[in-house]
Amino acid sequence: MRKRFSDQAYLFCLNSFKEARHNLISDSLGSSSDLYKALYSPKTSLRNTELERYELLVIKRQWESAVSQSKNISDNERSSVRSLFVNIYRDYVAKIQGTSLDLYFIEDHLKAMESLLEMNQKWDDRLKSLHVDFLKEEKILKDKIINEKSKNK
Amino acid sequence: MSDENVFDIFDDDDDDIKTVQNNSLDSLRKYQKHHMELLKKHKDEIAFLEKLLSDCRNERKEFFIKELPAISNKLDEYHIDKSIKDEWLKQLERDMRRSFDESDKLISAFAVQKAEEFRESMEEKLKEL
Repeated sequence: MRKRFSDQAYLFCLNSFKEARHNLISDSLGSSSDLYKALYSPKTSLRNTELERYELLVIKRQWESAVSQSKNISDNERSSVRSLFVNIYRDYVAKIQGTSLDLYFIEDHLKAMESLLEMNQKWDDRLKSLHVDFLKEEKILKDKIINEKSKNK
Repeated sequence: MSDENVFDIFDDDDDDIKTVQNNSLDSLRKYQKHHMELLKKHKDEIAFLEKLLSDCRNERKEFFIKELPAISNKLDEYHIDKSIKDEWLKQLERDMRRSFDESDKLISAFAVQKAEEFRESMEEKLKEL
């Protein structure tokens, strides 16, 4: 039998994607300096790296917002909500792969988290590891940007 | 027929007024009555699912008709080069479509789950008939 999730789990996930779309639109209308810094970059290679970094920040933002909001959910609902969200988010990120952004690290963490949710163990440890990996990828892209900029001087 | 339950019309138990004596027909009437009562019980959920689908459709429409042109104008206002603007709008459209598709998938999965729950309720009743 197909795994079932609570109504709240579905609504939580729908709300997460709706919020992410709203933020993307808002960013494009001028609220994101990271995006506009990328759009104003004169050199293509630098601009592409800046846009990769922006895309990573968008993905990270959705994940972190969902994790933070899931803490406000009652204990008996939280497992269902997190389980569905991790499942959906992993599918979503997998579709973004195949672009220049390399997100295999997210998928690895999310796969592990799905199993952990079933065993209800070490969720927080995995969260921290994923957060560190996000920071690492962001730093890699930042360094790449600095190198690109210094090449242009 | 009671004032409270319109589906009592399916309870045609009075032998004096029954025009056809048929056990299968009686079972079918009971099944129909139960089906209608379940639909009535779940009508708020059905309406809610319909609203979710409709909201998602409207949000998608709003993005393409209103928000994307507004973003294009904003990028012009900020003097973003045309080629870069076109590239970004293409990427934005792609990202938004991807997100809308995920939402559609979620709503479909939610609807399928509700339909399964409904079917199980019906099957429980069928065992009694």
